Amino acid sequence: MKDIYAKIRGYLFTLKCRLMRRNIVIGSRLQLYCRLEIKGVGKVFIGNDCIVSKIIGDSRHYVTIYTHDPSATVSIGNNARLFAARISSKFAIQAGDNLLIEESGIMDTDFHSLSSDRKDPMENRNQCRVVIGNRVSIGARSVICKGVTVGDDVIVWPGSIINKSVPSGVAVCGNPVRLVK
Amino acid sequence: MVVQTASSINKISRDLTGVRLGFASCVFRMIDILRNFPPILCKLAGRLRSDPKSLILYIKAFVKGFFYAIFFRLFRNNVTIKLPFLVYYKVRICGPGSVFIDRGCSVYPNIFDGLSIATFSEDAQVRIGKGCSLGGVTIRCHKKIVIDDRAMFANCLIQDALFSVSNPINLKIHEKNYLSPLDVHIGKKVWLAGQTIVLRGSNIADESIIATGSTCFDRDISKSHLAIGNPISRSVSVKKIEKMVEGK
Repeated sequence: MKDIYAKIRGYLFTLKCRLMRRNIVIGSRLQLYCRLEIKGVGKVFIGNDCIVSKIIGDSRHYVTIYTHDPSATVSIGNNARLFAARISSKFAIQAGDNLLIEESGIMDTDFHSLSSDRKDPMENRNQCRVVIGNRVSIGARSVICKGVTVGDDVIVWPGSIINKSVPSGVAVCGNPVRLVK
Repeated sequence: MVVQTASSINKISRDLTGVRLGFASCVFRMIDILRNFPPILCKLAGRLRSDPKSLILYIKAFVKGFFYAIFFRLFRNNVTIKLPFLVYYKVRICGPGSVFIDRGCSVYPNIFDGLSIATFSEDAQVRIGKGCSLGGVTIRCHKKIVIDDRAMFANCLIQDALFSVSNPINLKIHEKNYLSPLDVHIGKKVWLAGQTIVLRGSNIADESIIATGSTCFDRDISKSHLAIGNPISRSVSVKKIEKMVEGK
């Protein structure tokens, strides 16, 4: 019963995006188990067969995708599973197929400079873009920072903060990241 | 003395077989029962004198916990909560596994978060001991999580598997043990500070502390030690730290 309701809700959401918001492109067969909040005027692409849900037992979490710039792009591949994920982008976030995110965030900007006046930071698009490969799964309460490329088949343990690039086919944990032996 | 007087009054009431004296003996018995619990009465009277608002909150929390316990006893067979259960904020327990909370536990608000327990299989087993303070704790259980008496928690996450909701797809490459769930055991009087994460296979002994923002997995922490790091690399005993603070 819940699955049918989620499919209907996803279909209605895709229809609404097609009619009202042209900057959002969502593939077919989206399943919405909780609220999906997309803010901003940047472009958002989501592939086919995606599942958007909250974690059982956490009532207040939902999935957010924010774009802070008109030139920002967020693209998520097919068959992604987003459980209470938080994505906020100013430049570009690109994720492959079979992505699994569980109560954790991805951001590609610092939102302000590190000096004391807190003005706009001098950030490049090439410096700050986040690229995530295929079949990546990210555990709970972890953060992916700006300017990081994550390879294919990576498992990110819960509670890790990824501030440098990760090769493909490994499991990483900790702050700063290190390989799990 | 009190017992003697009560018994003597009982005798008198039996002799006279009067209704009024019987009532009087009843009242004396009530006083007797109340005098058997002086610590609770002293506590309540002290609270009433010092901070009457907190007493009202205490009573409210007690009533709320009472209703939670009755709700879970009526509608969920797998959950048992023993009274008194002090609830100052929301409690959310869901899933098919069995949950047992012993008496004297309390739930305070901690970063807008109450207690939330989720079990993901029927064999899952969560057991919480006496007198724990469970503000802001989220527990996600696949297999078994045991918490002993008088443990103290801030806003933290306790999981016994890496991924709670669904498994990752790339299982062929990572054919290691760490994707299966393992038991978690937390000992007596353990203090978990804020933003900590306790993962599968962690075994924390009595009276030890885990510092703010650290994660713990696949590790045994020995008795009365302080553990720091993400992931925890080594732990220092509390006596050594006391010596360092004193400057010896």
